[in-house]
Amino acid sequence: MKLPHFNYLKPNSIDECLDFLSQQGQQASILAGGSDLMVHLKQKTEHPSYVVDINNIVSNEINLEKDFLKIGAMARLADISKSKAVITAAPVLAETAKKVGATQLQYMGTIGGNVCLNTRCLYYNRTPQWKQSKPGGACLKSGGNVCHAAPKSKQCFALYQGDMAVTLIALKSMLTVVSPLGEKNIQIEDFFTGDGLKPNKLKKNELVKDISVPLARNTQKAVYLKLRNRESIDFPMVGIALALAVDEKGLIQNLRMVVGGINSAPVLVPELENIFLHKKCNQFNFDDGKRFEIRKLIEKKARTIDNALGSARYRREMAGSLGLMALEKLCH
Amino acid sequence: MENNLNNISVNFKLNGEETNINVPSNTTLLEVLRNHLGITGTKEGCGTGECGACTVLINGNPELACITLIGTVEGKEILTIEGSVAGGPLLKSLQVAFLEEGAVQCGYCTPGMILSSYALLSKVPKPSREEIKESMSGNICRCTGYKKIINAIENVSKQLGGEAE
Repeated sequence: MKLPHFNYLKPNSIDECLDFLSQQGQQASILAGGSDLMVHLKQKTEHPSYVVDINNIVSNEINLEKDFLKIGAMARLADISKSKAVITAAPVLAETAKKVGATQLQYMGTIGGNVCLNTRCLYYNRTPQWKQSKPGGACLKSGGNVCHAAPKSKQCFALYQGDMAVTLIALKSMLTVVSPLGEKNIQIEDFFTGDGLKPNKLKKNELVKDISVPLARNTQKAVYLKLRNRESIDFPMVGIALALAVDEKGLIQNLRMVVGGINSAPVLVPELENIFLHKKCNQFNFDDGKRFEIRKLIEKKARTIDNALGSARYRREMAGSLGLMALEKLCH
Repeated sequence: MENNLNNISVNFKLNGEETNINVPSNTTLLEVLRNHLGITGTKEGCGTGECGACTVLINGNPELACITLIGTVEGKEILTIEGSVAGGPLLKSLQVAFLEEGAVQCGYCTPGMILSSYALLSKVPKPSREEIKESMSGNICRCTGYKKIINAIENVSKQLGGEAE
């Protein structure tokens, strides 16, 4: 498969890169690991005049600092899954990185790139030839004015199928974004727009520089569960990250569940806190009523339509089941 | 900014030999290997990073040549299935084991399979069967059903263990 025509650039400093992006950002795509971007380029879902490689200028280091685990945006997923610092401070992050794509993609893909993944849809991630054959023409995300998955819709239902962001939100992580105006910190849950057309708030002249994961003060338990079509490689149909803290009396504090793959952004399920907060962690009573209630709370967050593998209903209900599994795993 | 031209000059070490190439900047590593350098051991399967047929080692890590832009390999070391000298005895043992075990049928996935298993065994000399399956999960084979491939890798791993003891 041939790549379209573009110029490859490798800036030597952040300033040089941001200068360029301020002028040409609309015609540029950022290259981190390339495992996703290159596929977009080949399928012509992105058609930039420039591909800007930021591996020389953005850190790939993983450091355990006083209050944070700091991960450079160019850190490879394979390095994250093996890093001693990550396994000590946030083992669930290593577990999540190990569930992204397949082995080779983990060596190529970066955490920054994974967080900034574009949303995906069965009708968007296709070749131009396939799209042309569809009556009604290009879909909303491809620049047209129809949605092939929900024909009367004026909004885009493309799904956010990154894995890392789901776990990072559960761990209350923060992104450092650099722009020509300087650096700013953004809570990663505020980074996403929920809009299938433009899934995150990153401007064309901004870059994600690093990610800070706060170190847990209390005992923290966390898990990431992922359902995918092929266990070895695919994007998540559903990804569930659950993190909770247990105080010295064994009572649950700060329960955070995040669900990925069922919406245009990862979604939190804050309502679960009412059920679990201040309950004894390893003796939670999951009776049928509670199970039903929990499932329904999670399922309500799904905005699934038939635009991915697996029916909308299947993916919605599996989100409930997987969420319940995660809770049972940590609280039973 | 450098390389603001269509063509790009890239230096890298290919199977132990310093290589310089001047190609359009939208060329993939796979295209350079097969079309520009004429070493066709590395195969193109899906072309979109799903099948693992184009796996090569970049600085010792298994990566996909079909979705690697040539500009990104500047200064790096690449090992392909042709690297019988640079790959040392491990590459040879894997090739022999694949043949002996009957892990090769049509052969299209084999170069990728061998390089993925090379990466595994050079990082983890004695992997469990489960670890082998997991780290080979990015390589698809449509002929063998995987069992013989995993057996072959296990055999080499045992040989490695034997040498160490």
